[in-house]
Amino acid sequence: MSAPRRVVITGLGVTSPFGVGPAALADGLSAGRDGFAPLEGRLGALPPGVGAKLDLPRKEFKLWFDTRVLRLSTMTRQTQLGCIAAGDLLKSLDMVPDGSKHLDRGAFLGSFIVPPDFAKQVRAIRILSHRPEGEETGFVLDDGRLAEAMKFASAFDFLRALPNMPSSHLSIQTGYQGPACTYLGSDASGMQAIGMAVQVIRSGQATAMIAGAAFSPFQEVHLAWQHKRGLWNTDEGAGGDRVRPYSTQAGSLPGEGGAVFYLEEREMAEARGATILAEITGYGQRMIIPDAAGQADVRAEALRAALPDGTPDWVAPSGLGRPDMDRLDDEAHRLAFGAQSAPAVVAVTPHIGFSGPATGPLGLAAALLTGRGDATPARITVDADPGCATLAGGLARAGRTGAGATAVASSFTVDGVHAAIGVRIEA
Amino acid sequence: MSDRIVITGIGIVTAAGVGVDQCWETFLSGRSAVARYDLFGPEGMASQMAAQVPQWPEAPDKVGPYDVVGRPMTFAVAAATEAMECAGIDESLDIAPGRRVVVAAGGFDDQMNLVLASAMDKSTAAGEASFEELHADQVAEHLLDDGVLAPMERYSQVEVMQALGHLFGAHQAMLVSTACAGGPTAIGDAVTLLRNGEADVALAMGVDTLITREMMGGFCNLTAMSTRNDDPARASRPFDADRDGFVMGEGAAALILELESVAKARGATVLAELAGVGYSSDAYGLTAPEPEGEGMALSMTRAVEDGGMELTDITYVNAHGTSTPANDIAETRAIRRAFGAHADDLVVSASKGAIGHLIHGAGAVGAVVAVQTIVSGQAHPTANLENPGPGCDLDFVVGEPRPVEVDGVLVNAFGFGGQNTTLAIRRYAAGAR
Repeated sequence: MSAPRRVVITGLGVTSPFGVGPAALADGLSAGRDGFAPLEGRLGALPPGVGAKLDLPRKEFKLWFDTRVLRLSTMTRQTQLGCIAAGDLLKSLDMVPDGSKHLDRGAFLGSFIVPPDFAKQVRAIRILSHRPEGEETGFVLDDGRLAEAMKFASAFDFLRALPNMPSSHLSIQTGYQGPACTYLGSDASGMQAIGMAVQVIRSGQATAMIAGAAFSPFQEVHLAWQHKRGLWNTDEGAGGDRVRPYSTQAGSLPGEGGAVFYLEEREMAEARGATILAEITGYGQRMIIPDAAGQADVRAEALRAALPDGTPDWVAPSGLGRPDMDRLDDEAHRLAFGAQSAPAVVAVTPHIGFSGPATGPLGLAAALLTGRGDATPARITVDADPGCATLAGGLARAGRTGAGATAVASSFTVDGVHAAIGVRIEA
Repeated sequence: MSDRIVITGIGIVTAAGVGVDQCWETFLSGRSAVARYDLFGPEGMASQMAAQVPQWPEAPDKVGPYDVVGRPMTFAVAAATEAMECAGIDESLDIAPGRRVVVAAGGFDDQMNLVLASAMDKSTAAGEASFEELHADQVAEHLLDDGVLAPMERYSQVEVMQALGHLFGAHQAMLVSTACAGGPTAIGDAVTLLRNGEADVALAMGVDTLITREMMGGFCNLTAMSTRNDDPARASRPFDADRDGFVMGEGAAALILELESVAKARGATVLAELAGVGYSSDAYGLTAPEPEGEGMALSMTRAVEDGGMELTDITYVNAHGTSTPANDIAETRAIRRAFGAHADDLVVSASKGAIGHLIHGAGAVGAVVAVQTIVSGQAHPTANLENPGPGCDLDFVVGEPRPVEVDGVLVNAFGFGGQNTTLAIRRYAAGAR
C-alpha cells in the first residue's frame, strides 16, 4: 500500500480588521493592536456595542477579484471577504486568475448562513404579520399579502444568501473545476473545510485546494443570538482589553475576516519549485453533545489527531472567552500534550475578535506566521482563570520559530463540534 | 488493496411516500405527487404547487437531548432511522465504536422569519407601534426579549446535525452545502473519510424542507419554477418539451456506508457498492449551468474513473433532470459529451417528475433510487415525460417501468452556482473485481 500523499501549505490569503494580506495581520498582532471600534446604528444598540470590522471601500474590491464577473450584489459580506482573501492569496502566488480553467484544483470554504439585509426582511415580515383580532399578543402571517411582501426581496437577495454561494463564487473567481463545497452548521466549519481539503488531496481527487473560511457576524439577529449564547463581553469601553480569554475576565467581541490557504500535494509543490510554508501534520474532528460527559476528552482526541507526534511549539486555541469553554480548552490541551507541556499561545480574538467559523483559520494563519517568524505577536499577561493556567500562561510565553517548529490551531465550539489542524513549519 | 465502500442501508421520506417501499412503488407507477401545497397560503406565489410530504413519518420524540420537532429534523431522523434499521445498526457501539461519521447536506428552515415576527409581536405588545408601522430599529430592540430567539436554537442546522450524530453514535459530524448537489456531496465526503481511514461506518444524507415563503418566493423571483398552477400533477416534467421550470419538493434520503471488511465481519447484507464519486465545478455562472455541459460531464467521467470502471460499465443514469429548460438540455449534452456513442445505450430516468426538487435532498434520493434499480432490476419511468423536448434525445424511461440488467449506475446532482457531484453505484459482487 502506498504512503498517503503529503499535503503542504504554499500560500496564505487574509482579510482581517487590520487590512488585507498576511502582513497586515502580522503587523497588527506584533504591535499588540486591536481592531475594535464602537458599532453604529442598530448594531451598536445591541450588545456588545463594539466590533472589529475591515474598513475597505467597496470600490477597492476589484483589486482582488473581477467585480464585473462576480457582482457585489450577488455576494454576502462573508462571500466578499472570502473572495478578497482568495484574491490576495493568488496575487501572492503570482496566480492571478486570467480566465483559464484548472481541472485539478478546488475550493472549500467554511461559513455560516446569515441573511444579509435585516431591514429588508423586517419590511417583508411587517407586511405579512398582524395581530389576531381580539388578541393582545401573538401574531399571524397573512399569506394574502405575500405578493406584496415579496417585492422587498429581489432575486439577488435570495441568491446571495444560498448556503453554497461562498464556495461557488470562489470557483468562478479562480476557474477551479475540481471539488467545491461550503461547510456549514458550526463555528468549526472553517477548520472542517481545511481538513476536508487535505482529505481530498490525500485521496487524489485534487492536486491543490484553496480552503479556509470567511465570516462577518454583523447582522442584528446573529449578534443577538451570540449574546444569548454568552459569547460577548458587555463591559463598558471601546474594546482593547475587553477580550482576554483564559483570564478571570469573561466574554469576547465580534470581528469579521477570513483566511484561506493554498494546499497542495508536496510532490507537486516541489516539482513547481514552490515555497513551502508548512506541512500539514494532521487533522482531527470530533463531535459530542454539549452536555455529555467526556467534553475535554473528545477535544483532546482532535488535538492529538492534528499533531500525532510530539508537542506543539505554538497553539492557536479557540479563545472564546466563555469561562466554561476556556476551561475545557485548557484541559483538552493538557490531556492531549501532557500536563507538563507549556506551549506558547497565539490568540487572535483579543486583537480581531470572534469571527465564528473564520476564527479557526485566522488562528491557523496567525500561528503559521508566528512559527515562521513573520509575526511576533505581543505577549499578553492576564489574571489567569485557575482552570486555564496552561493556556493563560502560554499567552505570555514565546515559542520556538523556524523550520521544524510545530503549531496546532483548533476550533472548539459551544455546539459540540470540534476540529483541529496541525502544521510543521518549513524553512 | 484498499477496502471497497458498500451500501448496507437506505431510508427515505418524500412526497411519494414515507419509507423505501412506499416511495419505490410511487416511482414505478409513474405518478406525480405534486399538488397545491397547504403549508402556507400560496396565492401570492408565481408557483403555487409543490411535492409536500403528505404523511407525518414515524420518528422518535427525542434523540438524546434533542426534541424531534419541525420538518427538517423529523424527516432527517425518520430517513436515518430507516437506513440504520435496514443496515442493522443502532446507536450502541458494538459496531465500529469511535469510528462512525455523519455527513449531512441541508439548508433547512426559515427560522429567521419566526424570530422577526416574534420580535415585532413584543414591540407591538409594548404599545410602540402597530405591525404596519414598525421599523427595523424597534424590531431590533426586542430581539433579546424572552423567547424571541428560541427558533434559532430549536430549528438550527447544528441541532439537526448533532441529533443525527447522537442517533448514529457518531464521533464526527459535518454539514455541507453544494445546493442541489448537496446529498451526493455529503455521500462523497463520507466516502473520502472512509477511504482515508478516518471512519469505518458512515451515515450520509441530504435533507431539505424548503416549501417556505422565503425559498419559494426566492426561486420564483429567479423565474426558475414551474407556473403550471392549473395542472400541478403535470407540472414537474423533466426532459419534456412542455417543461417550464422546477417544482419544489421536500424530504430526506439517507445511506449507510461502510467498509466492505466491516460489513463482512458483521454479516451485513450488502445492497450495492458505492464505487466512485466525481466532483466538478462549472466555474461559469451563479444561476445557469454551463450550456455545453462541460462541468457536468466532468463530474460523470470522474465518478466512473474514481470507481475504477469503464464508461461502458454504466447502463443506467438517474439524471438530475430538474424540469427547467436550461438544465435538461445541458445535462443531455453533458451525458453525450461524457459517454460518446455509449450515451445511446444508456437507460435514463429522472425522479423529480414524481417528487419535485428536494434541493439538498435530491441527489440522495437518486442514490436510493440507484440502489433500488440495481436490486429490483427495474428502472422507474420519468413521471410526466410524454414528449422529449428538443435537445433531450436520450433513451428515457417513459410511461412504464423498464426491466434493466444493471451493473453500474450514475446518479447526477448539479447545484446552483455550478457545483456538480456524480455518484457511481454498482451491483455488489463479493471478492476482488
